[in-house]
Amino acid sequence: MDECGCSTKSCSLHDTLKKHGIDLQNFDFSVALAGNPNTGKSTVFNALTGLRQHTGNWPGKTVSRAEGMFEFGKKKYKLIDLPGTYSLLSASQEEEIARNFLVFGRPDVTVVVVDATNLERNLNFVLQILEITGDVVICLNLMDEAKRKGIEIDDARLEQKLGVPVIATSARYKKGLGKLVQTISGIAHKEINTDPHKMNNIPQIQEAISELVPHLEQAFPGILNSRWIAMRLIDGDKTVLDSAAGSLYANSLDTGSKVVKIEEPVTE
Amino acid sequence: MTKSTNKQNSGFETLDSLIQGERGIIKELLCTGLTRRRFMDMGLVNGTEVEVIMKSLSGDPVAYRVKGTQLAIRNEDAHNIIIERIENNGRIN
Ligand SMILES: Nc1nc2c(ncn2[C@@H]2O[C@H](COP(=O)(O)OP(=O)(O)OP(=O)(O)O)[C@@H](O)[C@H]2O)c(=O)[nH]1
Ligand SMILES: [Mg+2]
Repeated sequence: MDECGCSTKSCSLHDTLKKHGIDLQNFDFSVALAGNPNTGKSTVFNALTGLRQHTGNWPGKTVSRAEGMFEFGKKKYKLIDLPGTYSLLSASQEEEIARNFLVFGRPDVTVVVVDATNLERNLNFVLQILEITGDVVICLNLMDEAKRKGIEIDDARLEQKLGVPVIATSARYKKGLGKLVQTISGIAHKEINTDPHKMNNIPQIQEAISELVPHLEQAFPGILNSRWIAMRLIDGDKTVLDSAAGSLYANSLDTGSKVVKIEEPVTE
Repeated sequence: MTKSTNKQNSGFETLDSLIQGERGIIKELLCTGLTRRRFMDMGLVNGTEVEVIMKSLSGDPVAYRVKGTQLAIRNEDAHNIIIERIENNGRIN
């Protein structure tokens, strides 16, 4: 039995959260950790998986994605720690790793870790995520720092405005992580209903998107988030097409390797 | 004639003119398309305060504080950001 990261010993999660490290077999749900650089994503990752993904007080430490596992309520969750990013419009290679996983990897739950001392900056990325998925939990981290700086956040109001759960945490001190895991489970099991805030789109843009989407779906059968890709194309971002094509190719490779795994025991 | 050339010719001050410790408020981004979106995603939007933290040895790029984070911006890019200088009035912030 491992501690769940709660500050109190009376927490019921102490019995149910198990850290599985990198034993990545047979997970039930995949959970992505995303957010701006330096918001504590790897700290949350380490606390939940028991792994030691590199953390530190400079931006851009996580340069590729790391994966780990935890178990909660008899279900296994694969947790993916992504590099920090300011935007889903990728610029650097790290940002592209994060972007491609979030848009084309379709995690069951996306946890956006935000810096409570710097909410205005962080909310830009949150709104971009809410455009592509509603299966989101906002981890309002660094609450201890916010308190120290005299910053007060009305998290209930924030939750109401964003339309997805907001959980206050201080990951470095393992505060709030039990509630975070419970909420991740609630989203994964579709027990929590969300109503993600969408940008008020201009009718002309909506029309242009609707015109593009059928073409995209014809060119890339089975493509995910075609409306979002159409938006990017209208923005003038052509790199998104390569990523979309690449993701379809990667998915077909994935299926291939699964077939090999199934055949193995038979030949033994 | 592009918009940016006009602005640059008529004496607007741009971000690259600030020296270490100086601050300004962003008035307008002169770049367009993806670069513009990219800048806005990094927090470089109108009305935002920007402070020069330090210059690299070569003087390019320069580190700025923008909405609580340090960003390194190339002079070439900073030249496309119109600012209004904040006078320090001798006060220490
Ligand atoms: N005070 C405080 N510090 C925290 C908290 N969570 C994380 N930190 C610290 O913040 C710094 C950055 O944490 P990381 O977990 O590396 O951040 P990250 O989001 O993975 O960073 P990138 O991978 O660069 O995007 C580290 O020094 C952590 O110890 C918290 O709740 N409170
Ligand atoms: Mg990290």
